[in-house]
Amino acid sequence: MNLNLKSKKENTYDAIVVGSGISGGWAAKELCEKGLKTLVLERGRNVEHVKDYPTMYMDDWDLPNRNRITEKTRERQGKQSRTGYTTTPSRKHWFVDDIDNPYTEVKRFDWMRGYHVGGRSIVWGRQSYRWSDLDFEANKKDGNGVDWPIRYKDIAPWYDYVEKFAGISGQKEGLSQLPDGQFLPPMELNVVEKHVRERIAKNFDDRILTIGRTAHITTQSHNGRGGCQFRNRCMRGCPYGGYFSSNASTLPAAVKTGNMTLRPHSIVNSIIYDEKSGKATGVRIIDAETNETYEYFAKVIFLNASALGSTFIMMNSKSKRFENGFGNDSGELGHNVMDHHFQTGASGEIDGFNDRYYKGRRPNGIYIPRFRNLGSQKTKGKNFIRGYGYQGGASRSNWTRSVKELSFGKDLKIDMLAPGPWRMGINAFGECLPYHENKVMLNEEVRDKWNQPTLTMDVEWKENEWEMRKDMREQGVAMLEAAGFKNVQSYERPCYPGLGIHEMGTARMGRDPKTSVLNGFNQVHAAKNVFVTDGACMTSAACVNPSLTYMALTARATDHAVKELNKQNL
Amino acid sequence: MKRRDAIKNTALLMGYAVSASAIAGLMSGCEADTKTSVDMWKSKTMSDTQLNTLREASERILPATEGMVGAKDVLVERFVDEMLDGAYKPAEIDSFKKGLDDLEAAAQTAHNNAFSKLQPSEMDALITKVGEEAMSIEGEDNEVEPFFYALKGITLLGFFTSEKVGEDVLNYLPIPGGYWGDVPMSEIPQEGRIWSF
Repeated sequence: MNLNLKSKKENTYDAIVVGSGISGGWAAKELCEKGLKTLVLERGRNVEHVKDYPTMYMDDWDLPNRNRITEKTRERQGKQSRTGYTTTPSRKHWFVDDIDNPYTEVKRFDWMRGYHVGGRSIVWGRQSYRWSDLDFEANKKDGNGVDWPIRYKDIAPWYDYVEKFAGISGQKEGLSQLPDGQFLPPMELNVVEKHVRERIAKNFDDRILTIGRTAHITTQSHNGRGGCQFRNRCMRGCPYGGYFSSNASTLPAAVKTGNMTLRPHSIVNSIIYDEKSGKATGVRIIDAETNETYEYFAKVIFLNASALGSTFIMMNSKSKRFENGFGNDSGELGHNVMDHHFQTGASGEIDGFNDRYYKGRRPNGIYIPRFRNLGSQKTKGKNFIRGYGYQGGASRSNWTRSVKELSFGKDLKIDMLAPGPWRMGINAFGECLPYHENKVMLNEEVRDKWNQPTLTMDVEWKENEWEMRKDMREQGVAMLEAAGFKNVQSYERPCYPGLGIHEMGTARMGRDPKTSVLNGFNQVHAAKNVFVTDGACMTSAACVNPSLTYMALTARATDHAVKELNKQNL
Repeated sequence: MKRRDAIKNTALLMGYAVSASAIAGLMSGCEADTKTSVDMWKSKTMSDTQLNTLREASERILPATEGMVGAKDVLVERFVDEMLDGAYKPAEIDSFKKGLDDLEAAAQTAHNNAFSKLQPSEMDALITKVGEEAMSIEGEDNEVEPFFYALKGITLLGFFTSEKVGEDVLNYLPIPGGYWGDVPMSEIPQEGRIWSF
């Protein structure tokens, strides 16, 4: 490697943030606003809000193949195409080239990655739910994994804080397992969903259906961003800033302070550790365009490179002190990979609403919060612990309903101009337990485009997840039938770990340095000036979408970092 | 959508002037639809006979009706060509082209004439026959979709995702500005047609 020996002073900042996705954007904003000169290192290209959203205004007919995935895309983005929706021409530029960025699968693992400024915050699902003490106490109560070092009261004010800035729309429901937040007005349930809400409340006293809680602006504007226009083209980047992304929200706030230096094309290869002080002093990067190596230095380092990205950096940071990877005294680094298992549930058709339709394309659906294993005997799941929730929605079908029928000609054409029957589908998202043997490993043999080692994945669902899935289907059918649907069918589609794009847990927080990598403030136990606040830090997975929790944990950790810096503890 | 409208709408909704760089982004994001002129266009994947068969068969599936375009008008065959060229897997391409060849062969056998030269009723009879074949093998472990479903599916897709149909036939609302979840059908424009995309 060609080491570029610039003067150390020139390459020294107060703080370094690795990654610019959901959690990295928050780290950058908070550290900059607290007055720290902050270097944000992003491995991919720059993406400026609005300017760099090439497909945001395109209709199907403006796009190659009317926005259908092409064979050429499948050649370079085979793994990224596994979702079926991520590599259409309108959005494939937000996902990595699998040939340049390989990984190895002992068991199938669908690793979706976005290497560019903003990361996956541009393409995330935007569903935003709080955790509760049911989640934070779960490991301790049932003995899986290790106990979380925090409880709901530690994070609740930080949920308030990030929600107010990000803008989360939702309906207050007063549930202990899914705490209410600082909500912008809820989006509307459609007429059939309202009907189902009533019928579920009437037939199941332990369940409700509510509108999804989503990071969209449902007022005219919010912190300088425009309101959601209900185009439902979020994954292309929103010209209005209608949903939360780093590019629309946190990075502009960081820029405004004058304290942020953003360096795209900067692949962080490893952390530099100083044995004398027992601290990290900086990071080594590879310039993705020139392949040159640089070193940057700071008092405090935030790893926000995504769960497996941050884990890779730590594993690849070997020293005399950390022979098995940075901060890995416990041996837990890379272990306890979790994701949410889904792709199972029920769907059906309903009569009686054919004189009603909707207007607008709501980028959100319904949510049925967890009702299993809440503590009472009545809510106990059969043969499984933890729980699941459903996402889904009701809509009227379009012309696709006729493809498998014999009809053609004038009558077919006229029929297909009108909306079809109302259908509703509910898709369950279940919690996955932390298993030590579900792991990622450093692979020295397979190298990426920059001659770095890569990751090997060895992750699978186990009995608790498979047992839970049975209940996910059965209860889905039961609720739709109780709501008056006909031809209700359950489904079970292939779902491998990673597909939920909620991979987490590989540098978990914990109370004991012997069994965890991070402490209760996301600091590496053995090098307290390194914070990991992306999905890697998660001690358990809960059943709700995790991004809001990453935001809150990150804001909380930056607050702690600056307090500790001021006390000269870092 | 039209780029000028897009820029105007953004500026209006944001309540401030859109920067020059943002406009540059919008312009590059809405490249003009550069359809090759009729005379210049050539199929990259199909023979003239296959193309003629496809053109007529897709028109029988979605014919032009009073005041409304049909499959031919929106050039469904060009969309099919693009899909065969870029999006279909090799086995799907072979199966689709064989389906067209079989239709042509059936026309020759039954009427001693090209499929594209048949009377509408004769075409319909042959299409119905492949449709019934598809129904009979449905549920079997087919490597690729039966031809009738492939033909009908791609015709519907090409028609309903075309600019003409998407903007003029269906209810086109590129920037809804909200969501209304309970609208009487009587208030839906064009006597209750579906929304475009």
